[in-house]
Amino acid sequence: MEQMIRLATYAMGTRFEILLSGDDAVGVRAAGEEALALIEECDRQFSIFERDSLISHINRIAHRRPVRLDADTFAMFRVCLAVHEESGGAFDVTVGPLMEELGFRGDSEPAPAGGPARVDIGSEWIELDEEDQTIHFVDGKRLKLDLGGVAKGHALDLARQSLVGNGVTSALLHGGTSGVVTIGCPVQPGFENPDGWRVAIRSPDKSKEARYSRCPSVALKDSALSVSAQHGRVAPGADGTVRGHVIDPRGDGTVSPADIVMTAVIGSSACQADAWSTALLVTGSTGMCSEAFGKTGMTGLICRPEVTGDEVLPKWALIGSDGGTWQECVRIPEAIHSAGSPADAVVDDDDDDDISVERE
Amino acid sequence: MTQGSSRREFLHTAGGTMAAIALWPGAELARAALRVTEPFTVGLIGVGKQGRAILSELQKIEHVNIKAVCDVDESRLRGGLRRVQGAEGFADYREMLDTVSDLKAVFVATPTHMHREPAVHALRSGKHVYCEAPLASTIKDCREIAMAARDAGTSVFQTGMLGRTDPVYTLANTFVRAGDIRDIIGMRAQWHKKTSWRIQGPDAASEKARNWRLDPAVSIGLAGEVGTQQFDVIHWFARQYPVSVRGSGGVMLHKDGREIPDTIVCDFTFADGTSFHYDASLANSYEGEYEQLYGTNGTVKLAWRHGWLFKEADAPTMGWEVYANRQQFHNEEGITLIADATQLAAQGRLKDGVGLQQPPLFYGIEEFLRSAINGSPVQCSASEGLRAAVVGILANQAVMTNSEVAIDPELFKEG
Repeated sequence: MEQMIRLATYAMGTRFEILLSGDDAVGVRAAGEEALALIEECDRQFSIFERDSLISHINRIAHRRPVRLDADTFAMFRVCLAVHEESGGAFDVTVGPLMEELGFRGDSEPAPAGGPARVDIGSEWIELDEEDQTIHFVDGKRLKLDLGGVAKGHALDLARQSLVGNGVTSALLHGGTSGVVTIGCPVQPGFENPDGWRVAIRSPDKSKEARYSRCPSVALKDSALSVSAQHGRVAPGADGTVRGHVIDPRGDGTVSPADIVMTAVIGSSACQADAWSTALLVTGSTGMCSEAFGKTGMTGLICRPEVTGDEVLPKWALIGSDGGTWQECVRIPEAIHSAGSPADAVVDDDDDDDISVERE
Repeated sequence: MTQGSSRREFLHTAGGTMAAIALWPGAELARAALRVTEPFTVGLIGVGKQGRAILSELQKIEHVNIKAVCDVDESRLRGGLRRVQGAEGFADYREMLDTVSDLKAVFVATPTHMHREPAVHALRSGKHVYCEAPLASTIKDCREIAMAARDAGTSVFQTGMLGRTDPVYTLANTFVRAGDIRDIIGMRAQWHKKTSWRIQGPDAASEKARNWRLDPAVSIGLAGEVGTQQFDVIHWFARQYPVSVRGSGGVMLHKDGREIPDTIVCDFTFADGTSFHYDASLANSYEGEYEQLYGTNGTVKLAWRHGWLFKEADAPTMGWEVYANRQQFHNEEGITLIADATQLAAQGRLKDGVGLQQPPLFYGIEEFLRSAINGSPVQCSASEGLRAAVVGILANQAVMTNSEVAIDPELFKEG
């Protein structure tokens, strides 16, 4: 008899949750705990708020000498640099200092002692040595890496890999509801769905009636989904305006709130989906990297506000399936459905826990 | 500006640097980071969770070359090799010790009941050995390791009990020994983590081997497996060992047929009448892991990466308090213990020092390498490992028999 087990942990400033099924409840729980332990380990390794994390160590040392990495962490950095290049710099893990300047960072690891806090920006200064598996900041650049754009996805990827390795065939994992990975499809009696785990993307319009009626949903089967949105986190700007939390490393450090308000990327890797959902939000409807995104084989959804009479409604468009051109969601493609039906999970980029996996 | 901050500002600007050096009792504790100038080749035996953590910390130290990784579990060995570029994998530690010619040190992170063989073999092969705590799961094995370490000539042996090398604990130990909390009247510690302790394996044999902590034939339970680290902290701070322990426990959450309790309580008694209360649970995670020492002038709370001093209202003011960071815990105000405080205070960056710059494991490894390479005194010997393991083993015995067990000091002797 298939049983559904639910496990959760707090990591990376949010709540990670795993729903998994199997007929051996004890074994399934053990597999879930191992996956959660990996997520907690990622939190310890990649938190810029902890002095003893690996990322703080890299930020202190890598301008002086190469820092050795394990294969998984090295692969994550490889994704970061690839998306940085393909997106024309729209995704950049060195943008942390700009985030601090704009008031999005609290007590992260302070600038190194021994001189003025000179911090550089630009992933082009990051060098990955494939042979030695090291990371190095070239020319002594004092970068301050912030993996906030990919760490959750990376943790979810490792957790999924662990679950699969332990024989789990049906699971849904999410991190703060902004990223989801799935294994197989729901198999618990009464909740079976051969299409996969249905995940609804909560509309930026947060009115109660709009929460489900205007949001797309997607059936995920052995795949990942990442959502980035302007409303996830905001800070007041000097001019009295409210700035979104996704920073454009190429410009003056802001993303226009009038442009793209939300993006969702579906692919096989949560880490890659994380990076691209950020990049698409940054580049916005200018479409600067839509062609590059089209080559990734992933599917993207963007949401723009559209004024209709007195109302501002979210308008969704599809990107990626036909080589990168924008396509309004008039006809909903096979895997993406206009929602309204109950979902297994609801995602947005709000990090509030009033929404979560909905099915017991 | 408050009166307090005016005072701080004054001291800092008007000769505050000198004052800080003079006033801060932990000034002499700041150790320079270990610098390894020539390649130093090491190997790891046992690639479970702790073994993987050791690899991660070793990777941070320049010129330390992890040349060999060993585990009988094939998938774990593969996982270990993914952590280290260029290391050679072995299924048999004897082959590793015999064939890797320039191996200078090995880290033993096998299951506790499998420490003795590789540790003794490595010592007799002339390697420096870092062995995870608890030292072993039987007193006989602990003694054998301690005797091999004693007879090892120039080879260094360190037991991985991390309180002894943790900068926060080292600083707190100085406070306590200097009498800052005055007379210790009691101690308390806990280890709480909600987890089943069960591990999946690719097949039945592998699963049984991986779940050694739940096997009553070899496991020394929560008291031995996680308690030993904390018992050593208590011994080190109190400068004495308990004379008896009363234990109890049960399976409160994970009712999956296990015999090893998932929740335990131990009460230790010392010869001077002080007591130490310990509880550990796999059924609850509240407040995690910490140790507390209660004195007549104050209380020290230690939580591995952080430490605090809570003063009694009638305790004398210490000069360095003007620089201290403070943290509120419900009705109590804790003074944060900062390991490299003098230097940071001099730079006006004391707040930056809250928490360790590296995980506690890093400092344990660093001290071991300092002893192996530079000949510095070993911070936690095999003898200390033996004594803490004896207490852990007997505490587990008390839990499993729901009784009081005497701790005979004769058992602390190597042989």
